[in-house]
Amino acid sequence: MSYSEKFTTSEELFRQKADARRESAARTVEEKIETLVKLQKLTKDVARAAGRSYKEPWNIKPAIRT
Amino acid sequence: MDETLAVINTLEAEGVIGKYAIGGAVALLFYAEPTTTYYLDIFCYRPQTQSGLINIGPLYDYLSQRGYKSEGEHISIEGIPVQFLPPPTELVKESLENAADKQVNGVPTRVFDYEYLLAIMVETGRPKDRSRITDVLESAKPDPNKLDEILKRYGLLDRWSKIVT
Repeated sequence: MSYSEKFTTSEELFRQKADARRESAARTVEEKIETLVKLQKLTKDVARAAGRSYKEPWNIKPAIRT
Repeated sequence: MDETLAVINTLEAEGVIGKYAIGGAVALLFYAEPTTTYYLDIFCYRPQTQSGLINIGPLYDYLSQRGYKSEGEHISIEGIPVQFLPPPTELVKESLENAADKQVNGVPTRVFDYEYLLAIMVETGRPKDRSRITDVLESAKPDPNKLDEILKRYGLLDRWSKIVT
């Protein structure tokens, strides 16, 4: 499938972004903790690559347990 | 985070700290979209001397005897830097008294209500608080009546209006 002619509006793109934020907020706290640790790791990687100081991500067991 | 909270629950159960609740950016995780944060702010009552000084010795002793190391103003508990803070204002005291019961992986804890968190950010009023308010409102709506009542009672309604308009 080609997406070379997939049209949308800026309003639609921002609506989708807002929907995604609300969906993210509605997740369980355990899922959000997993996301938080990923964000902390990403922030560390970016800071380290740029030669800036950084904080260590939380060193915890996975929040979502099976 | 549940292992960290289990240790903090033990601190409360053994009387090392008084009633506690999670505040700050980690508390917002329970209501809104996750954003990057590092420190777990625990608001709790602790014994004070007559001159108003807070004796943090017993808390630090208890935790260091169990292998938890202090790092500046934080103590790392099961991989998370934790700061124990006394409620600095009447609004934060009320937030602590009315904190909601929550669980993380089955471990019970208390968290400031969303509306109180928003009001505290208005009261604190740092640029990052104002920015965070607009961010979190995009992902989670507060109870407008409850928020309005808190903001009015603490004289924060004007400041709130300036932030959200």
